[in-house]
Amino acid sequence: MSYVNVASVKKQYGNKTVLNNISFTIKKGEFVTLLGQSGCGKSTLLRAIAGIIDIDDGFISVNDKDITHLPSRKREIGMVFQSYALFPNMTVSQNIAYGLKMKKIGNKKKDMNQMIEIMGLNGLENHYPHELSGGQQQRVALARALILKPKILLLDEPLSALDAKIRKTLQEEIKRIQREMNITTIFVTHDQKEAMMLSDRIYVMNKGVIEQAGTPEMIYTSPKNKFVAGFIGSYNILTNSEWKQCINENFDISTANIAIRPERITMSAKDAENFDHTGNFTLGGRIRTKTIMGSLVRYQVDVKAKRIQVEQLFQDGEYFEEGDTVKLLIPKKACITFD
Amino acid sequence: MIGKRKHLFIVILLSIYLLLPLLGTLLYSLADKWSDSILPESWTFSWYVMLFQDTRFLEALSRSIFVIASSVLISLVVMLLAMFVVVIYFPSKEKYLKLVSMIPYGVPAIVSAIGLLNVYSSSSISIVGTPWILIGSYAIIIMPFVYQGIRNSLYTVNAVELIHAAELLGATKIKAVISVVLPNIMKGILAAALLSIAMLFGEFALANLLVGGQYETLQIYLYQKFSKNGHLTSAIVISYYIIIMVVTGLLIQFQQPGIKKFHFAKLRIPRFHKSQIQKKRVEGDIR
Repeated sequence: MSYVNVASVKKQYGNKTVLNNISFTIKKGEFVTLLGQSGCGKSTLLRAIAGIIDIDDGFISVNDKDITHLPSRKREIGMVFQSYALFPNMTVSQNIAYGLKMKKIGNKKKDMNQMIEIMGLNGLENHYPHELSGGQQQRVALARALILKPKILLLDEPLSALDAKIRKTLQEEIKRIQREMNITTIFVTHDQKEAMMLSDRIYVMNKGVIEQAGTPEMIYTSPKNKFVAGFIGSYNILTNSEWKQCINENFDISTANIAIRPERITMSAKDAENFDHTGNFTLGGRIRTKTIMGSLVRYQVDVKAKRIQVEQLFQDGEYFEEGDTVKLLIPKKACITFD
Repeated sequence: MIGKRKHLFIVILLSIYLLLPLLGTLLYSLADKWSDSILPESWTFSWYVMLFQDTRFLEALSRSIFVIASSVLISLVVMLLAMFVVVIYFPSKEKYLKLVSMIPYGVPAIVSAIGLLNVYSSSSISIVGTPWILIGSYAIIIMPFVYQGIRNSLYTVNAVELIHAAELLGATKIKAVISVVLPNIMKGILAAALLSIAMLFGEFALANLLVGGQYETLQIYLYQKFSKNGHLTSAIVISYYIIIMVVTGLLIQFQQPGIKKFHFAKLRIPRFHKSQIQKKRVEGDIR
């Protein structure tokens, strides 16, 4: 049963189509991410749902109520902006209570204390936004949006301005709060790792259209096209002709491209005879670069005219150096084909 | 070390060059008799007493304050409304507002004065020689300062995003502007107003050509006193400088990034604890 329904939404700025016939549904309590590069239309879509911008065509409903032409103040939607948009002339408690004051609802003091407790903002009630750190400002923005118990929570890249450590902590907190409050959430980000970590479902967007929708696992393991494969993870994408040049055996693919995840490739200095040839492709190459990535070691291997990326867990075992000649073993199952 | 001394010498030289005429004027405004000596032979404060007892001066000052305050207020209200409409509803049209607001920069005061005289001397609206023509023209010539001040403030606080955030929390657009945007751009509005006031206090060409002696403002009064009594003129100039300095000081105060709010509480006379008062009484400080 869909809770949020976005149907055939179109938006143009002059001659440029920003949202091109976008349709999707979200279940109640689901955490959905709109993932894509800058300018792909994800923030515009979020703003259209919030009612900040008008759409040219299509319709948006929440809990079977058409909100397409409803002003944003009547949509019962909470939003955290990328810049947080905290009111600089108000203290933390005034910022949080602003919505309650405007809508004249709830027990202001009780609700506010509860929200301050949940967000861990105790002791900061009388501070002004400029006296807070980025992480604290983000919590205030989240508290301000959540105190009204909105039907949907929209998060427009709220973590992009934070450093890695605080970002990780807040990612976990956002997920925890979303689960606890069971609030339907739409999150916008360009960070695929963040999307994978937080979401129940991901919509990958490109040039105003949804390229692929699915669970994080599905998006990661089965990209539908070249764009998704290139955007999610660091897939090796080879064209049909490049692939034919790389492999030594006669294996025809009918599609235009083949994609292989770097961690699915096994690398060995031993002779190819030791490998299982039945379910795998064997490619010979020379290591161009080796990079220690923390828990991973990343190799760039020159295989004929193509450079292939291989990732191995950084653990005791067989390691290679730049310039080593190696054999790559690619499971046939790991080869994803698409046009 | 030599370089530092050289810089200091240049600064001192420049300060003398800039301050000497002002110092001369100050001395002349305080001099009773000064003819063949380096410094005045005798001192007096009577020129200032005479000036502030002259009802013509006080009337001219109050007329100037009325004209300047009215024009600044009109300009602020018009520009604020225009900027809100443009920034919120038609952001792409802002360039036109900018163009219109900047035109007064390029038109010399004498040209606009002659233009206004030509238009209104033959018009059925007879406002030439009245304060209304001066208020109208002043409101226009300060438009570039007002526009720039308000515009910068609106963009600095990200007014559009603040309005969107307030609306999502249940506020109407007007409520969002009043409760969220206006308090945050007040500093910019005040800075623009003070800059305009400082500029208008020094404006002479429009005042002289449009109203002249029919509605004597401070500038016209100063001009008329100029040839009659040098000491009195000096007292006017120094008083004028003090007003401008106060206005500029306030302007700098409001433009300092660290100053977020002006706390009147800080201006209160410090409170003494009971024991402190008793102690001071014993010492004879408090009677």
